[in-house]
Amino acid sequence: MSAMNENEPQQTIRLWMSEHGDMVRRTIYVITQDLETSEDLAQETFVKAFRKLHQFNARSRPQTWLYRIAVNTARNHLRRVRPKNVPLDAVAHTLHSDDRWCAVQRLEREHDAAEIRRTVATLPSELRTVVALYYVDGFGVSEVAEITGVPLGTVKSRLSRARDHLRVSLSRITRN
Amino acid sequence: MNSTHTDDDIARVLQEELANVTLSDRSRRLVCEQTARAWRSEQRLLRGLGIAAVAAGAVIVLNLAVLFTPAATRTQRHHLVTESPAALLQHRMEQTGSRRSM
Repeated sequence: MSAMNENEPQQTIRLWMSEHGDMVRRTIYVITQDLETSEDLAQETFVKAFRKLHQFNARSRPQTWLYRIAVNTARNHLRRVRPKNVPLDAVAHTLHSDDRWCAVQRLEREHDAAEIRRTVATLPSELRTVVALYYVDGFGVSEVAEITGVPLGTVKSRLSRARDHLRVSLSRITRN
Repeated sequence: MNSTHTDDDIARVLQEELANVTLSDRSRRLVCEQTARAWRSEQRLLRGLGIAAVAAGAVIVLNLAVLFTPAATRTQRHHLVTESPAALLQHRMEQTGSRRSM
């Protein structure tokens, strides 16, 4: 992520949005498990980042700071509303609308994707948060701890629990 | 449990799965609009605060000027401002008389 330009906060946010917009939305989607909401909350994240830009401490990485806002925004949303159960078919349709693959390949892929989605969806939100930051965004364990504000040991144990679930799910896919 | 799947496998599968989840152009536009609006209102507020600060500064300067004006001058001015026209005339005549006697 590029260094923050203090004189032009709007440009800073635009830059961050172009570099991290998609990833921020994916992270929020994994945490909330709601496609529509993830779009709204991603917007909210960047607007909040703009408003809080003067609080940004240059000692921490801008990326870490931005994802902390995203994770907190998603968490606050989950506290406010009950998690909505999105029909898996609806999500699969949204995620794979292009027709690059033939029908059989697509069906197989959607089956695998549904398996992974089901596994991630069944994880508690704190494990989903760790999964999103570690596996999807590629943050290190210490950065995940910094973003989520939980001790390093807790992050490691959550990651280990999530990993166990995901490995079982992947094994099921491989066996099939 | 099959432990042959590494972290890389899990990451790859999840990233592939989420590859089509992107922040829409509409959302990006909305963020730009909202930040631009917030920026403009912040600038207006700052301008307002600037004007208020200048006004407050001017009041302070005036107060300091009064505070550091010699007391005799202030009393004389006080007389000039608060006394009746007749008293003022009397005062001026006294001043003229004293100048003539000098």
